[in-house]
Amino acid sequence: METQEAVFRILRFNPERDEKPHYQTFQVKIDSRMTVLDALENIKHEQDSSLTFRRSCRSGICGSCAMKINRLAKLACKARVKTEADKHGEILVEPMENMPPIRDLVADMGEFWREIERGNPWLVWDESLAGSIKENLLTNQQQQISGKLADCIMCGACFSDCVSRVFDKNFNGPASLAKIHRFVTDPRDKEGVKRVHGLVEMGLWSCTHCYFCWSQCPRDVRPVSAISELRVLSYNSLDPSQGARHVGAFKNSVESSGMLNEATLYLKTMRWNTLRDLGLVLKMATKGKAPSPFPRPIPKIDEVRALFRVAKEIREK
Amino acid sequence: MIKHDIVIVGAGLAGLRAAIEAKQKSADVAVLSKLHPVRSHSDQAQGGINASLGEDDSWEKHTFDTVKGSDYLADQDAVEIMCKDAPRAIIELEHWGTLFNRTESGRLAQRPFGGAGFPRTCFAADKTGHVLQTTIYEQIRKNDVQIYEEWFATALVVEDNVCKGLTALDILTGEVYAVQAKAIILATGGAGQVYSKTTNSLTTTGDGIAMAYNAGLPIEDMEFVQFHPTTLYDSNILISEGARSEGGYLVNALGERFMKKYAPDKMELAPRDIVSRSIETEIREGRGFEGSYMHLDLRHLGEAKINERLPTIRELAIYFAGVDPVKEPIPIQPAQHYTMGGVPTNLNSATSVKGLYAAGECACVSVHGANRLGGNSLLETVVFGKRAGAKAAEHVKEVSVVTFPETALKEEQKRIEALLNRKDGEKASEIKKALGTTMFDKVGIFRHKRELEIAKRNVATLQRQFQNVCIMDSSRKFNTSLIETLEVGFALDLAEVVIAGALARKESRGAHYRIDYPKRDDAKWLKHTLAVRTAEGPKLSYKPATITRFQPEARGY
Amino acid sequence: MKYAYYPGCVAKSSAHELYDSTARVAEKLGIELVELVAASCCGAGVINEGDPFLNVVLNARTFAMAENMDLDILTICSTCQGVMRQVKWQLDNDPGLAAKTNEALAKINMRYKGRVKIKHLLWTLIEDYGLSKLEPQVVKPLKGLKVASFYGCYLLRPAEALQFEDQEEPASLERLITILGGEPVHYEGETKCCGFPILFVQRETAFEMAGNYLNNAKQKGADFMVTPCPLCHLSLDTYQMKSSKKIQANINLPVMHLSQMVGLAVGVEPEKLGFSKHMVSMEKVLRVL
Repeated sequence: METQEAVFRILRFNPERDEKPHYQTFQVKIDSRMTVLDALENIKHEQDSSLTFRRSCRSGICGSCAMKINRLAKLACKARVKTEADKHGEILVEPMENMPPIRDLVADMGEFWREIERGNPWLVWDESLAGSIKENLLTNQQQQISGKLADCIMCGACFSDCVSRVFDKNFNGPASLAKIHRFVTDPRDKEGVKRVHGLVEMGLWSCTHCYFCWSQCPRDVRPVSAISELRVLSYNSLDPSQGARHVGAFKNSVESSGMLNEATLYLKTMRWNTLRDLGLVLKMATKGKAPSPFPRPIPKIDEVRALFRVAKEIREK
Repeated sequence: MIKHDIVIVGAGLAGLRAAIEAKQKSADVAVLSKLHPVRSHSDQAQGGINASLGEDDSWEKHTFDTVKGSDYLADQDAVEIMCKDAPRAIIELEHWGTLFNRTESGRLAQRPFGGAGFPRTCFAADKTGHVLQTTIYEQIRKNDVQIYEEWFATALVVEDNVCKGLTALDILTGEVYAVQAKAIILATGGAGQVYSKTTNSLTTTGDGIAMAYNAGLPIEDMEFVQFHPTTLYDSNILISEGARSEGGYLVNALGERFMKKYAPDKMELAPRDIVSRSIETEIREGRGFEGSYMHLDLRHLGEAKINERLPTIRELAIYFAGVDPVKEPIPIQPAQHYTMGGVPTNLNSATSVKGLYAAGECACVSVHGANRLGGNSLLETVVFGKRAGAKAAEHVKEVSVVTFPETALKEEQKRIEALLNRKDGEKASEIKKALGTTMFDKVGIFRHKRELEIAKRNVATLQRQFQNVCIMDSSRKFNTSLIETLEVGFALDLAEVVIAGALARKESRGAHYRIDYPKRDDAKWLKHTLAVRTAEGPKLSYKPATITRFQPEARGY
Repeated sequence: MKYAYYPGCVAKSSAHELYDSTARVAEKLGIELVELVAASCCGAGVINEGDPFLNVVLNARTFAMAENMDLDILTICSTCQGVMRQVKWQLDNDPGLAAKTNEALAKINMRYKGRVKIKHLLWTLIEDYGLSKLEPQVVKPLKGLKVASFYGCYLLRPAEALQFEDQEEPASLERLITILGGEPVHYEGETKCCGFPILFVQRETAFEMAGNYLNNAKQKGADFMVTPCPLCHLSLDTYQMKSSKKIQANINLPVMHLSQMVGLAVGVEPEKLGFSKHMVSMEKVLRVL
């Protein structure tokens, strides 16, 4: 295996010595198989034993070594040095985002775990079964969705890179909502769909669909899809919320005219809050940007309406 | 000083199962773990967990397979308990939410595992450990069990054969605390990191077993080290036995399914010690690839089956070996995997010290004897974890008060302080590397007096070097160099015991194979090794294996 | 080059400047756009959260329309592009869903065959048209103006559904800017989210998001920002005043639609590109040119 050298720029922070974090560069001889974790271990053992990071299984399943590598949260034991170097040149290594740093690449995951706890993350099982030796009957098909969601290793990468979480500390976050959905979709959970009812207050509608939780998850859990599915349940169970009103207004607009009419969408979602934007709306009107609240339906609107009817029938079955 | 009635060290399956039991029996219980619970090594188990659920199966058959698999060294009364309790233990896990694979009719699916006469291994694809650990951690949160997360236990405190508690380091702050407890349950797992090639995580360093040894307890059967036959070439990441239960073949460089020569009946599903020795023999006799590995061929299973039953190992092979098992055979070689030995306990997980219990891989009941069957380790954790929790809860009701000796804390604080302040000396990482290589090369699958003696001398040298180890990072907060150094210390202690046991045992049984004593010798050696720490090294004594139903027979597959 | 053109809803109402500038650019470059006037809204990811199957069939109908014309779909909105690509990815990988969808479409005498491709104008310029063909048509180069790209989310992630470029290090906008004579400027936030999806529901968060990224670009010396999505444009330009106020900074960074930037460079008269409809004036930039 041919070797070459790679440059690592690592964010260091020792609370006993440093006032604030600073970058330090290291050079490491690498081969095509080396992972970032291998490189960090190498640096720690050969160059600077104070380099601090979490790690355990080195095979992508325990979740200990999640950190930002070239600005995106990944498992260090799976990030291949050569790939990172080829793509980005230097390899930038920093602790996860949205969590205060403890030391070097170790982030304080307290907020992450607290958000998980908010969701009552355990199966509410039928305790009358205690001691019995009969299992619940369940098919592989019935537990397919829960199974995929249960692949989560709680590494924190999705939480780190969640754009909404940066600005909205009430947002429960992708990992937690995905875990809640894991129980919602488990036929054995006695709470089941009832769990959806508390979610509006936990920021169910704060997810902005940035899809980072999908792209950064090392286990392909796709939390954003779980959030969308929870929103479907919330909307269809008539949980009142601005988010649900938004969905309803959108559907109505498309059913009636085939297009999204921003004016009616705005009014129906925001209601009297529209007054807050009165200045902006007037300015838009003067520039010819304000859409008419009375749109003309598109040609063949009947086809669109027919599809709405078909989908409704299927849903109601 | 931290005070609890029960403190459990280790947050894997055994530790957490014990905690739930103790909590439900209203004990004041806390779990202490150097990792966040979900990072524990139990999470990495793949293949499955055994129970005789099938109509044509029985706990007696399960017991027999386990006893035979152990090469007749297992204590049969303990095995009976484990196999009898298995169905209840596993169904309980299902009730708690484990997502096991199912049959068409919705019942728990089971697959055949090595050395089993019946398909009795329940599984969740090939990530059974992850699924179980996740489920049990969820129930821990439901029961609101207190956890000291990222706390490193440094020493057990035992006085007049009574357990008083332990000293532990809060990794976050670097402070060393006295933890007073009426009962301590050790659930710290195995000691794979004693070996250079191991499937075990970097944190599986035998802490609990070493602490017990250092506190004066005997430790049992340490020479019995399981080498898993199929680990990825080079990284030694585990490739589950499940791959073989689903029908995978082991093939040498000549294209032969060589297991025919060594276990014509069970073939690839012979017990692990036999398969590992077979692979190693094939390699030594020149029929390996690049002189190092064999092929595990899954191509004939087809993509659909591999994706359904073995998705994890497919991903691992692609990612860490650059090979897609759907299209190519996987390069595999044996590596250390499981520690059959550990802290000796009775049938209720109690050790010889009052108030001290042990469960899971760090304990030696012994249910696995000289070799463990796949699927029995996950079973052991929940069966004996529960028993440990129950017994400890009972015990603390009877004990009134326990006083932690202040000197124990002061001494430990001084020791750590001295370590941190040393400015110059040996590197722990170098010592660890040398230790691992010596152990794998000389105390591995095939052993010989000559090599064992060299290993003994090497380890003695390394222990002397370790007296002068320097951490080169004197920070207190989150000092992982300190933790890694303490772990190397534990590993050195245990390595010495493994070698002593292996040297003394002049026979071959289960996973312990002596080229110079290739036969099993029941007349002289149907007994467990016990090692106690002395200034001159481990002092060995023996106790007979408990036999109830099955008299030892020749072990062929 | 001929496409079934799907402008999306916003380009035809509150971001009409995008529709107009696209028409001009297509004309100049010789790209024939046959508008799918009977196509419905793509749902923007919102209908998916009311009724996922409805989301699939509405978009499948659009696909079927294009297939009937034997043309691929061209979009000018990242959100439409992302939503449609995700729906197509689902249909192409789930035969059960495809069958159910076609059952529904059969009720309006339509059928999705799985042949259509869906491409954003940005991808079309790079792949089908080719930057080497575009370069000689640049008559009014951007004179080294510093341009900050705002990719946004739907055009990059999830990579499995989009399959165009590396979502970690996208380069399509930078390559285009360079060909057009501009200087790409990198800043923190170029692949992050403008906040539009939560603009109605969590406005303060959305303002902070957009404000932060706009400000980052400004701090790095950008003269203007360019975006391939009119929804991002609404957030970044129309609501810029609110975002500025939220983060207490005077941002004042003009934002162009992709088509406007290309239009300027290939010689379309600025007055025809609809800059007067923007909230943040493009005057300074136009004066340089």
